Amino acid sequence: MLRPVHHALLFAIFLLMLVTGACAPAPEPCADKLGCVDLEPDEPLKLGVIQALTGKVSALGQEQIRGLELALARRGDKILGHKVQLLTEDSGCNPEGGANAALKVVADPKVLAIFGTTCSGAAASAAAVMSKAGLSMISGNNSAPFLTAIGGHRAPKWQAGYLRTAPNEESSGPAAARFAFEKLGIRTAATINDGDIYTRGLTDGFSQEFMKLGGKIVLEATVNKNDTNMEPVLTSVVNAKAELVFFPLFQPEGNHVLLQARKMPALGKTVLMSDGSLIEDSFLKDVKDAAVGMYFVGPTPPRKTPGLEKLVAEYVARYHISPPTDYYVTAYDAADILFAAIEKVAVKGKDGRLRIGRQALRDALYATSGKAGLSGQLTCNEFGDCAAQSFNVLRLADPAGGVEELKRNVVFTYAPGQ
Amino acid sequence: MSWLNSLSRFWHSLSITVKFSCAFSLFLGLLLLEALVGYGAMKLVLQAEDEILASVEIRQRVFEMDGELEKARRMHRDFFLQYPEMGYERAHERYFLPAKAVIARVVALSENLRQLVAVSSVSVALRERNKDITLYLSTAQRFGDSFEEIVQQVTVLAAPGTGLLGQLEQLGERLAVLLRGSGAPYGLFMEMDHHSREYLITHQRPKMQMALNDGFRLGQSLAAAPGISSPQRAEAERLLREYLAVAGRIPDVDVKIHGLFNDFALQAQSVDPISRDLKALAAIEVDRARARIESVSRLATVTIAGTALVGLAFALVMAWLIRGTVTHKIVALTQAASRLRADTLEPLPQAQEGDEISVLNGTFGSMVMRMQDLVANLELKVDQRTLELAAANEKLEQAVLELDEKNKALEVMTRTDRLTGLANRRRLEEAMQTEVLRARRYGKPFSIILLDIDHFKEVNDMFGHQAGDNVLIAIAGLLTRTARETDVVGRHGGEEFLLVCPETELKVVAALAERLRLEFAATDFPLVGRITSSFGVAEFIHGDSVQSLVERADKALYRAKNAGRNCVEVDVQQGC
Repeated sequence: MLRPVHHALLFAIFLLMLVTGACAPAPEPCADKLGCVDLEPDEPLKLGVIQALTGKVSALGQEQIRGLELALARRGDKILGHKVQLLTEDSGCNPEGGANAALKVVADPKVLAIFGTTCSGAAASAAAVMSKAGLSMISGNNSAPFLTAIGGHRAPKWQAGYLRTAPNEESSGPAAARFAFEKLGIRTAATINDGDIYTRGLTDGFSQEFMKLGGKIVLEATVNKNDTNMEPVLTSVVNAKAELVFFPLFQPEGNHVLLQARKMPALGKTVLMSDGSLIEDSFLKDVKDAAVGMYFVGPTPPRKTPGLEKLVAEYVARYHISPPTDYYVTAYDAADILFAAIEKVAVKGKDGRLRIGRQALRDALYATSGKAGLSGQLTCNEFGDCAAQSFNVLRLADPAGGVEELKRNVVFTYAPGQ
Repeated sequence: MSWLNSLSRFWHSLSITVKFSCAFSLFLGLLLLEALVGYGAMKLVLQAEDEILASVEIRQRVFEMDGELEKARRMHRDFFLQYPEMGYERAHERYFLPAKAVIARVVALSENLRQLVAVSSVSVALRERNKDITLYLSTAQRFGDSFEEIVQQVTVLAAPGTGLLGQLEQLGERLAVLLRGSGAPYGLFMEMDHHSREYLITHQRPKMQMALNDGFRLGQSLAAAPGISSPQRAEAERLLREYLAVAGRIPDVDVKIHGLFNDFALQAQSVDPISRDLKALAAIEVDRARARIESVSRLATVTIAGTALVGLAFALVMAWLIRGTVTHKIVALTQAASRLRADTLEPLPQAQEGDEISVLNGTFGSMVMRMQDLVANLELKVDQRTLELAAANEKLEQAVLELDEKNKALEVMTRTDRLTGLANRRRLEEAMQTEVLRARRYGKPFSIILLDIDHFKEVNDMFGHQAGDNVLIAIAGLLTRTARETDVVGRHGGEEFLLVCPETELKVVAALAERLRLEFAATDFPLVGRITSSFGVAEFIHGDSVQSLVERADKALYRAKNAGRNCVEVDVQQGC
């Protein structure tokens, strides 16, 4: 038999449980129109990472991830005290890969944002999935105009929540066209793209600007990715009597075009011009002297500042090699903007729970303004472009000097609006 | 083991009610424990059963979903395999439209599956796979969208009449007809056609580029060909431009289709492991739930058996304790009672204080002691009581004797005249009544003599009452001596005397009266001298009562008095 004191004790415990349960802070409903991500104190903050991790372009994807890792390292690998879990997916540098990778990432409702992609083609499809799911996505490598804005208007592949710190290459083609027309006196030109929106965006920009200047586009050809026989398309170039071929292709198609063009006497005097995707040591090592005299149009490298020097030192210390390209810097800036935006909008509850509104995060990203990035000053516009457009035309004189030598050999700079 | 001793003391100090309450409470506790174990085990088993059912349902849904998706994929494959043979429209109707319906079912199934997993009581591992189901769902949707897009591209490429392939074929045929026999242009056309056909087989874009280059050269050749008329040339050039335009578009469409096929492959890479893992997880879940059921059943069996054994052991211990502390006492008490019944008054063992039996034992012991005491003093007490009784009896007998004597004295006193010692008037009347009854019943005669002392008042007045009393006493003596033994002599009152003479006729009585008169007259009474008496005699006659008889005797006496006294007068109704 329980004595009265026992009854009283049990009743008190019951009341305490009732009161404790009643007073437990219930999570407030999420007011964000795109929803919220709530993190328990010991729960990691999840970010999707979609990059090209296989194939020839994987080097660029790796640079993006390194830029992200360096930015994370600066924060002690934590954001607001939460470990960061990266859900990394390979895009394969193609639209299908981008879309399927994005589907995998957004299936996890705890993923806050996506860092990626490497290739613009993958970005377009991934951004569509991401935007529909209410996430934000930022890239340090995508530069296709189709993704954000063309001529001050929303581009066809624009998606809400997509931003980038790599400059919109809307002016890359025009820079090449201006250099070709104005400096080289070229009047007929051919373009070769690979059907991807990136290369197509560049060749379209080149063609429009070139024709606007008074030149004539005598051939707009396309090769498929993984094509190895470039002779037919180069024959078309010969047939078209183009003085210049603008082929903003990736490796290995760009390599094949160059090497096979050098074997065609009819193209002996034809000017060959590509873009930043081939400004890589691996390309120069592959084609060697065949690239001598070839032009490249690419973003103006970031100015060497103490901050950048420090990042380079961190890069070398972490990966034990010198950075092969500058794209890790834009990747770093992209990650830094993303982390700063998360830190800005995250609300920490009394119970230690972290709440991040998805729309609030987007708004914070778009609100980035006058940020002193390591790649330059960053101000994100309504289309998602955060970097200023400035492009250099480079000429390879000495393949042995590698990319650094190539980047120093600037023959033309085009920076609209600056 | 001091605590054991303390416990033992405590146990012994408890009352039987408390002991049984404790025992039954503990039994109840064990029963409750078994019930709780059974309930808990049943609940766990039911929960595991729910998990099994949910897992089986999930697995079934996954199979169903996977099967449907596979069906859609087969239709997708068959569409591309069959449309060149059966025609685009028929393939569209036979494969594409059903595939769309199947994909819609897959989407619905995966959505349903996601909800099922979310609300089911399955493991965390399986519930965490909900994001994979979300991926499955979105991938299935994407499969549907991609399938639709690829069919659109195929429509562009191969739709009858409007498809690029058909257009290329038609343009090629018309060019061939137009250029046949034209020499070099026809040869160039054949090369172009050959390369384009090579492309259609290999899908290597350089082949189509070669065809385009052939077309470029064909165009140049047409301009210089001598055997072609101007209209024919113009028509050929127009057809060639159209041919090259169509040929230039085909690889782009192919690239898109290839990309979409690649998309399908990637979708399969995403989805196939999901369904495989889900099936495996669901199977693991079922195994886990089964294992849990087994372990719970085992645990419940062991617990229930253990509890039963503990209960049995406890029952034995309780029985032993009850026997030791209750039954044993009752048996001892019963045996003591039996010995008592057998007239053996042994002292009872001293019981420990505590329960009710101990109290009863104490009471019983006191009773035995009292009985022992009683038995030990019984004979003495009986002798004492016998003596006391004998004394009392003697006293009583003495009292009875005294009482008899007193009664006799009283009887005498009540039937005897105190002065003369003769029968008093009551006695006389009783005797007469008796004789009257006898006379009436048996017809026996009896008579009475009534006599009165003559001038007795004068004696009293002259000699005093004591002298008168002495005269009365002397006459009584005379009467007693003179009367017969059977006669009743009594004082009728004052100086009157009456004699009742049973079975005596009147004449005998009259003679007796005469003799009495004579004796009285001859007697010299002290102090008084001579005194006479008058007599009246009467005999019972039929119809007489005591009163009527005495009245007749009295009348006879009256006559004697009137006749001068000292004479005997007989009842006139009978004559003397």
